[in-house]
Amino acid sequence: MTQATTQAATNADPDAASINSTSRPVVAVQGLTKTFRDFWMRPRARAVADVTFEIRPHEIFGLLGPNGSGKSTTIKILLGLLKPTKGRVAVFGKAPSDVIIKKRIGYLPEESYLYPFLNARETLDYYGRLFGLDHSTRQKRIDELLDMVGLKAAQYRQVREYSKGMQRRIGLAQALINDPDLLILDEPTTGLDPIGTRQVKDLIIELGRRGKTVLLSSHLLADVEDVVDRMVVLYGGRIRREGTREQLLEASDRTTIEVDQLDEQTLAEIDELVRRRSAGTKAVQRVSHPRQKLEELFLQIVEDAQAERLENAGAAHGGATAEFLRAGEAEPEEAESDALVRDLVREEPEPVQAVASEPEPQPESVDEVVVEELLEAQPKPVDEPMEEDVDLGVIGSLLDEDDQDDAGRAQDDSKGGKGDRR
Amino acid sequence: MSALWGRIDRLQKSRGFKIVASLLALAAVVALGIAYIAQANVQDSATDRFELFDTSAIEDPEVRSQVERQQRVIQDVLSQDRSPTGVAVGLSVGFGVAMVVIWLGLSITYALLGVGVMLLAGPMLLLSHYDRAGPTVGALGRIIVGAAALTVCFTAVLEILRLLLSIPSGPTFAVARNVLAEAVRMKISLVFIVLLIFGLSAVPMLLNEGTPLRYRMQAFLQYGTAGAFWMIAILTLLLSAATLTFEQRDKIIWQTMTKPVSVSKYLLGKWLGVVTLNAALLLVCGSAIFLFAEYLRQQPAAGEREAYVARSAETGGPILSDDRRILHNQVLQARIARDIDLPLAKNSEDFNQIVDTFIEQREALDSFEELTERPQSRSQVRDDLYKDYISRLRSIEPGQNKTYVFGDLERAAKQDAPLLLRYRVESGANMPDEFYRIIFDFGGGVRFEREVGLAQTLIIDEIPPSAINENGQLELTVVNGSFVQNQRGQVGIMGNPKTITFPPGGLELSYSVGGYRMNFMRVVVVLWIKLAFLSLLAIAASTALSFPVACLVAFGAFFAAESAMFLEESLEVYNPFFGEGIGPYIFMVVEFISSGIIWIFRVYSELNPIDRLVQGEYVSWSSLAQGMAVLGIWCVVLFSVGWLVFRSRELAIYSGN
Repeated sequence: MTQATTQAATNADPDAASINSTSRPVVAVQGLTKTFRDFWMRPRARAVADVTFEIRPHEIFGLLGPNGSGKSTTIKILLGLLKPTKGRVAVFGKAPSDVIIKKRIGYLPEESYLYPFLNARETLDYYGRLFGLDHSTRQKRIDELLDMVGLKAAQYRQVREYSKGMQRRIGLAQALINDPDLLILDEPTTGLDPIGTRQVKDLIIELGRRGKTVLLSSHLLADVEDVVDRMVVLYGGRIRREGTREQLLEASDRTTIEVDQLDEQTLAEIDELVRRRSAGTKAVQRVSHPRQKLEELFLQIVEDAQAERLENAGAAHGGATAEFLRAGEAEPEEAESDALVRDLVREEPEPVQAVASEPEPQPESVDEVVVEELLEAQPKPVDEPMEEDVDLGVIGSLLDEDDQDDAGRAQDDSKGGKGDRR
Repeated sequence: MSALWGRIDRLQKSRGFKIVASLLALAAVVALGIAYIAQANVQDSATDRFELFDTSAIEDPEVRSQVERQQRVIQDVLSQDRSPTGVAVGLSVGFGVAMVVIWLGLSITYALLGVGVMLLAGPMLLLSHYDRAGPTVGALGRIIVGAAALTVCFTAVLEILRLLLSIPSGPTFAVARNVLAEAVRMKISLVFIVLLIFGLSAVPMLLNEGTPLRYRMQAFLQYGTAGAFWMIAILTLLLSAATLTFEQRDKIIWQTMTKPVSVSKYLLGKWLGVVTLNAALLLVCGSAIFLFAEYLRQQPAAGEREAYVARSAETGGPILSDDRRILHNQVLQARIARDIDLPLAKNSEDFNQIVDTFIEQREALDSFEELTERPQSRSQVRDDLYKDYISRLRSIEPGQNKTYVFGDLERAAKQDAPLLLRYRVESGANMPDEFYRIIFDFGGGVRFEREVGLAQTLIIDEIPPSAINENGQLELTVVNGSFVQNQRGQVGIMGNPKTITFPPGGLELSYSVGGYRMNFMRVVVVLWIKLAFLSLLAIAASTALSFPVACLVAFGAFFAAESAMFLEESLEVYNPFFGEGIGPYIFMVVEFISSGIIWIFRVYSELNPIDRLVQGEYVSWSSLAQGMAVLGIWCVVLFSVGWLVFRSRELAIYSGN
């Protein structure tokens, strides 16, 4: 709905006004085009071409695309750092150049452009003053943010002495100093190690849960995939795809079932069942052991090192999300999210968990009847060790050698683990 | 070691320590004050040694009045021997700095630094004092001590100002605070601050102790004030340009302008930061210059056995040495100067008639009919004629005399201090080996005959206020020659070989309206206003230009502003090719550009506070207010231009990237 029609609807129906005021998009971009010109006003590059999208309140929105696709340009237009050549842009219903709306925006640019001569504390204090925060609020938030991003020990060192990752952390902190309603993150995980990346992702999820609207721009798909609700994919300045994560990523024509270790006979029976049910048109195409993600392995190694109290001169790993970042309505998953965050930074090492110790929630498209039959046919204790001697011949006969299904399998393999939000 | 230092740091930051240290500092200041007063009471002051002449024996009331006036003047000079101003200012500054250092929790740190400085400079000073080392060693020691003291003062003042900027909330003051931090932490500005501190500490070393005290005082005021101003001005231009352009180049500005900061507040904050830095630097440098001037004043002048004790007084001669008298009456004064009254004003009815007559006569002679049809030419004719009229008025032919009138002297007539005539005589090629005898007759028997070198500025400083008539005017008759007496006893005038001329500003009468202390304070304020203007000039240039180009524009404007008056004087005599070929067109272009520069920077250049201070001229509150108003208007214009340019820019693009 455009702004004009929204206004018309609001005028016509007062009830609609109350509805629309809560569902008015935080960001509305319509027909946005940006052409860069040279000194003689000749067009040199079209960075964004006829882009239209909206960001709704409380959602985490992804702006994806390869380098040079127009992501950062779009963000800069939203923030008033660039002017659109054509089209309309509204942030909180106002033009991006409006100073008032910037009180509600937090921005982390693709690189951390900070004053090199200030230390972390002074940096946050400066940006806090720009927002007109009083002294006590500023100090409280600075303490919480420094703790959250793990820079408390280095807070009195000048930013010029920071590593890139530390600079990104302080950059993230300054984006949050005003408790923004709209958080714009341009390549937020650049320069961060996997732990930092994980923490940023968890933070984004947490902020989303607390009612923030987040615009996340990245070309690192793995970082984005786990956290966004909706996304657009840009290429050459144009939108190529748009939709929710499920709409864009789900391969609805395939089914993945994850169970504990099965023996050959059970596998054969499953295959036979599938063939029988589908009148021979379908079969079990691939049987494999799920792999631990590299991120998870890395995190485990770091946890073990922390447990041994080995030295680290850089940023400490952060603490819990700062309290001042406004909480939304309490949800049942709250305890689980906090537990996930706490697990990452806990001091006591925990034994390495067996892979996929808990069953994942089933996607809606799974044939539940088939699953029930399988489970009843082959009850298996949970802690039975995996069998190492697998008859490759049986596996090979069950596998469909058709390579057209590789993409779907790859997607299936990458799902699961701690990233799921549902 | 770090644990020990941690304990020391905690101690100096503790409230109890700060209170005790404050009380100790207060006690030290009081003790020093008492010691100074006690010493002053023990020693005879110069006025105590001066015996007043009994004027009751003088019958002529006019002569008696004149003698009494002279005695009051002498007493006024001698009373400076015990002037507590310098000591009071020094103690106040020291106490203020000590308080800031203590309450910042840095008292022990600075005390240890002070010990370090004395360990370094102390041996140098001792060796020099006992002639165990050359004067260079002693000078180096004094420079180190001076630089350390200035650094401490500057740090303390800056911290106070930073705290003051912390009190109001809002982006303007936040940006201003940030500029202060940038100034002392970024090399581009820190280098100049260090150079300023060391340079100012070194200025006293440039003074030659064999030179008369008045020249040393003038030299110190000139080098110290001008040197500090130029150094701060360069720093101002560079910092103002850098703070804006570097943020744009390094994209730091993205994270500021995506906050609720309007363009006007951002630019205002930058300007406020630089202006605040200038205030800190001027306060520190100004205090240092003032205190050293007060110290220098207490040194023996030429012809004195000790300060304020003339050798001639011991043998019945003048109470005051010439050096001391001139120092007090001419240098350390605030004097108002009056030029000669011009009988005809340029736009007066009488002069316009003269112009008309001239044009008619020229028309008849040259058939230059179109002259009256072009107003611009008529204006040129009037300007040329007026210049000629002034030149003739100021010229005296050999053996002739002219009477000049100086008006608006009512205030001077009521004062005791004598008037001062500053004159400069030019003749022909102003050969340095030519000397002319000239008579200056002020009426009422007040007459001076002087042997005058050409193109030299000379002074007559013994003109009594009684020479001023009841209309507040003083008539001066100047004779281009000298009295001669023939064998028959007849007195006549023997003229000099050529016509003499007093150039513009070459015949000025001045009188004192106060001491140099308040004048010095006004001078510092004027300098601050000029620096504020320069800062906004550089900031406005930086809104559109890159750093090197903005510096080029800003420095070009600065040099043009400083030299606008010189440019105007040069333009009057500039006339290439004498009307042949392309010459007139070049002249037109040069005149057009120069006139524009002069018009823009006239007030800036006319303010000229440093020369006024050195010459002992009064910097009035009205001229200060006028300067502030005019420069304030220019600041508004520059700010508006900068704001318009900056708000229309796309900050994500810099230099086309």
